[in-house]
Amino acid sequence: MISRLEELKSKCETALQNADTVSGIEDVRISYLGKKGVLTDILKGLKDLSNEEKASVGQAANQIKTQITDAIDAKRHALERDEMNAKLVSDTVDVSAPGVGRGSGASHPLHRMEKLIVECLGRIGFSTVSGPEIETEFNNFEALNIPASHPARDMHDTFYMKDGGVLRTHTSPVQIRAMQTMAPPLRILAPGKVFRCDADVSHSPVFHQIEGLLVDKHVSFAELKGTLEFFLRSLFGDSKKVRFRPSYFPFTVPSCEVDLECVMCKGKGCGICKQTGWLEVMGAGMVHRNVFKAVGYDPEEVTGFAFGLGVDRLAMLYYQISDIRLLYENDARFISQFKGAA
Amino acid sequence: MKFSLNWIREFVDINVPVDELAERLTLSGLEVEGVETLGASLSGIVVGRIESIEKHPDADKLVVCQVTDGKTRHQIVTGAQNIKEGDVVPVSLPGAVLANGMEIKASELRGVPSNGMLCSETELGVSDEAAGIWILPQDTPLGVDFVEYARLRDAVLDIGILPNRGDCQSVLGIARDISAIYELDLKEVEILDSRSGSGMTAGGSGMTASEKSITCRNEAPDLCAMYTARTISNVWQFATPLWMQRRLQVSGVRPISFIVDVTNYVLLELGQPLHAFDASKVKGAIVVRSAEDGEALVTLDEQERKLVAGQCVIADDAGAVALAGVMGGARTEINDHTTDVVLEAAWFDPVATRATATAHVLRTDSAVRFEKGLDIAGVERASNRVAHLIKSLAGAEVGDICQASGHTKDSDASSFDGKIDVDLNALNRLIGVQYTADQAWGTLRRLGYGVAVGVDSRSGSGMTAGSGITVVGSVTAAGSEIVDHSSEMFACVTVPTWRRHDVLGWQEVAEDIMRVVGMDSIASCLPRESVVQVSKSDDERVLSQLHSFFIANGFSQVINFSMVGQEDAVKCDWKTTDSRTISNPLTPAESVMRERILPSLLRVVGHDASRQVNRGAIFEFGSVFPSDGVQDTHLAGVVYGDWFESSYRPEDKLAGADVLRLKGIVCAALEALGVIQIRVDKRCDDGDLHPGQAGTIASLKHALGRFGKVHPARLKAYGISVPVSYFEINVSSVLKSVRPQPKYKAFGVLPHTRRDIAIVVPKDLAYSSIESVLYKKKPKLCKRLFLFDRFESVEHLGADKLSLAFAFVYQDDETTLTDEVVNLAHTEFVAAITAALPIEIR
Repeated sequence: MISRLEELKSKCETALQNADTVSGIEDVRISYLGKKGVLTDILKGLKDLSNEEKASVGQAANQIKTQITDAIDAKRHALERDEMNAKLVSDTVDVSAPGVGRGSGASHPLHRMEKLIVECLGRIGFSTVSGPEIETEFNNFEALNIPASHPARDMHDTFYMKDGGVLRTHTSPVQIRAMQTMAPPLRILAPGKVFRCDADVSHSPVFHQIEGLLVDKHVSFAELKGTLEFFLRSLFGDSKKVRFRPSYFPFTVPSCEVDLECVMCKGKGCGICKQTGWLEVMGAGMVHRNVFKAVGYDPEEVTGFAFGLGVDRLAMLYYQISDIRLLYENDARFISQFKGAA
Repeated sequence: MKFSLNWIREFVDINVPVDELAERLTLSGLEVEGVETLGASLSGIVVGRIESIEKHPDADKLVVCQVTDGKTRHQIVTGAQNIKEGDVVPVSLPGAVLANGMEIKASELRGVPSNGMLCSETELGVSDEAAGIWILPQDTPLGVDFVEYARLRDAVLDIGILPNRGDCQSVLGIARDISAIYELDLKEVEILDSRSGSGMTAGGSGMTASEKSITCRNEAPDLCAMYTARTISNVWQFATPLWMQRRLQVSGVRPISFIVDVTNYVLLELGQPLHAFDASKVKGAIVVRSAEDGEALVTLDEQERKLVAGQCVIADDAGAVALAGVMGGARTEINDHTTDVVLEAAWFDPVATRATATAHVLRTDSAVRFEKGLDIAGVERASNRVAHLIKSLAGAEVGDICQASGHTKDSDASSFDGKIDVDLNALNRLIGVQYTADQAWGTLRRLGYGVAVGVDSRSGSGMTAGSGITVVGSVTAAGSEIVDHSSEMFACVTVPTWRRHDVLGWQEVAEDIMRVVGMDSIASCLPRESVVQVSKSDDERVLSQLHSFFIANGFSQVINFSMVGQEDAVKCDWKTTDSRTISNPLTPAESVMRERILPSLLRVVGHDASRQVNRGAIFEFGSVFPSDGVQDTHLAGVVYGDWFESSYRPEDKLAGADVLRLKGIVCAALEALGVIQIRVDKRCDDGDLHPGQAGTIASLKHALGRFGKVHPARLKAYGISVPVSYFEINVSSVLKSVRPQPKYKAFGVLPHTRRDIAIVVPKDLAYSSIESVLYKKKPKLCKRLFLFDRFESVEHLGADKLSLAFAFVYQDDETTLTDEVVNLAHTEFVAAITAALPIEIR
């Protein structure tokens, strides 16, 4: 009996060796281990043997069954691996060919710049508010301490609508609206388009501003200075020099202009900074008492500072854009250069 | 404005290097935009007289001159053409250095020794061009150092004057700030003492004292707060001294004639505009009055001006002779034959002067100065300064001044007596510094403020610190504490007359101290109070996500002007209204506020197409201005050309599918924001879009926008030859449609069963109406349904039908569904939709 089993085993091994497909292996398995398989028959016949034989033959039969099963599995895995490999060889894609899809778009540099500015000042608690582009004369001028007869109106070449509305000349009216609807303390930024009725090579009739406003008790000019130094250095580098110069705006007193060490020549003097080594980048000051009065804040109770900057100019410096008109032509070859996270 | 440093030095002994001065002025609010040094290298130039001129023996174009400097005779060979014997000229002797740095040496010209050179204005750095040798007035003293005599060595500061600093539009004003910054004394100018005369008068009438005096009357006291006139006689054909001409030139003013030059000189020096009438042409007394409607005046520029009431004129018995503060009249203009003049110095109302100047489009230097507000106390001084100069230089006879005052209009400036209470502690808190009393009050005094320390404006004069009589306490703004008005940290300051239109509160006083002390010295710090976010910027977050979505899907952002052209309105069939039309556009192409973003995008596509960029996808966030509504923010985008099909693999090229692809992107963008139940309808009846490929997008409660292929007529109007698909959505409606953060709901885990169904539908039946019936009739067990095939075939279905295949997914949360249950539900569902729609089951 034992010798029959040995013979069976070697026959099976031969059959396995001859099988070269997964289905061939399966045939072998069925003929030996299937319900009616040779080995299965032997195992079925064990019950007819004597107890002694049952023990020895049974052990041998089970051992051989395990060996055959393992051999079949091993052969099948080998064949499956070969088949898969053969399939992979025929199923290749040249992944170095262009990906299918339209790629990423680009963010307009003005948007990127605005985002950088808003995020930077957001770190010290400024949040954005917005307002309409067509404004009332009151919000754009009177409330900002610029009465009709004020010579400062000359500084604003204003577009008027036929019904008397004005295209805002700065985003300060957004601050007026904010103060009219919210009680102090306030820490806001007003980004947006502004309009001036003059245009030449270096001026666009539409450009972008961001104005900031902080109102609270006991706000000082020293804090304005600190805020703007933090802001400009965050954007242009910690080592950049920043200086403050007295200036005049109807809506702030004291007022100042803020100069940044020229980003092109690092203060040595070049064409961009007109050989001064400085770039005038912001206007700022302590909010004028008349502005507080116009919005119903009590200038005896609160003080505040405001600042404004031209996003276009800053973007031109930041991205080294030479001509402001590029910003509004929206030429695909220009915009596409501004991919990636701002 | 240009200022001669030499001139400034007549008022203040400032001796720092000019670059250092320029920087310090810039940091004090007088922005020096440029510094020009003149004649820095000049030396050794003397005044000489040409005694004889002889021909050069060997050169036709040269002459040999004998020139004396009063002591020595020098032989000089020159090629100059414009000289004659007896001319007085600048001479550079050997060793002298010219403006360009060239040193003069003794030499020989064609064999004749030449010991120097006769100089032109160019060689002395006075002008860029010269016709020949500079011929000097005959009375120029011989032998003097000409560089010193004619004040050729100078530095010119070009200073940008801030709008509120009209007082700095003068040498005196600049010198005054310098004196404050450098703590130097400010010197007075020499003037004629007008009080020696007897012609002083106040009020509406004038008097004369001497024969050649003029009288003046002020009938427009609101328009003219102060008018002075005086006669100056016998000034005929006096030549303006060189030094004065030189100062005018470096200040950018062309010398004209003596009287004009002196009035310009004093204007530059003291900032007060002056006007000289030819006395012989003035008929009778001078009257300041409002113009009559329709009154005519020919101004100096020979224009006839039609005046209206409210415009201030100066008139004599024969009518208007000047547009007050703006421009003189032609009738009384001075000329070469003028011997006697009437000199006017006045203070005209800034607002009225500005209005008059604007009405006549005559923004003269004089008008601009009056607009900015002048020192009313300086009017008489300026007249006296002119009188002094003319008298001392030309020996003219100066008449008494006639003065007719009015009053300043009811404005901040006039109701203000110039007194401001300043609490230095509050001031220090506002700036964030620790100025001492000495520092602050000293600075103010040097700027011309009166400072009464320890006194407030209500307690009158004379009270001094620590007098112990009254201690006035009050609660102030920034401090919320009792302020001791008798302390050395408190003062009542009197604003100088030349700053009263500008300095109206203690904050302006603070600014004055701060700018003079310098902003550098303020130690900066970040805001100290706690951080408050005034608004939750949900909107910002949502917008930023929308932005990123389109960028990630290959769209590039553009930013356009908010206005488009009237032409665009026509192209897009908008009605333009007054509230959306700019009355003073720069160009017709930017004259109307856009109602939609579409034309802006079509302009960009047109621009790109004309530059060989024929495919792309762009989007814009921006304001729109519906003619009948409020300003709103839209997001719009276009895909143009074969952008969707731009793959190189044939299997990706799906021509004609772009509208639905765009719809897919837009709907995914909305879904990504959390807009649920997006509904798209086929209707869209406006001329912008292809009538058969356009739709509207809405959320459950709000219309959101529209999309579709752009109408070929629009494309044609913009010169675009590639197809364009477009969407535009209202951002605020989108924000309103964003659902709050999602909440988890348990989902079924038991096996589901799918049943498919194909239906034949009429082609003109919108998918959305089929879908809405499906959702309406859907049994509870059907958890999900979707379209998985769409098929058209003229052969099998006919030209007007198409087949749609849907999958219905059945699932129960509680039990595993049996075929019987699913079949029952499915059969009922199919029956319900067949009954509700004109369809057949395939």
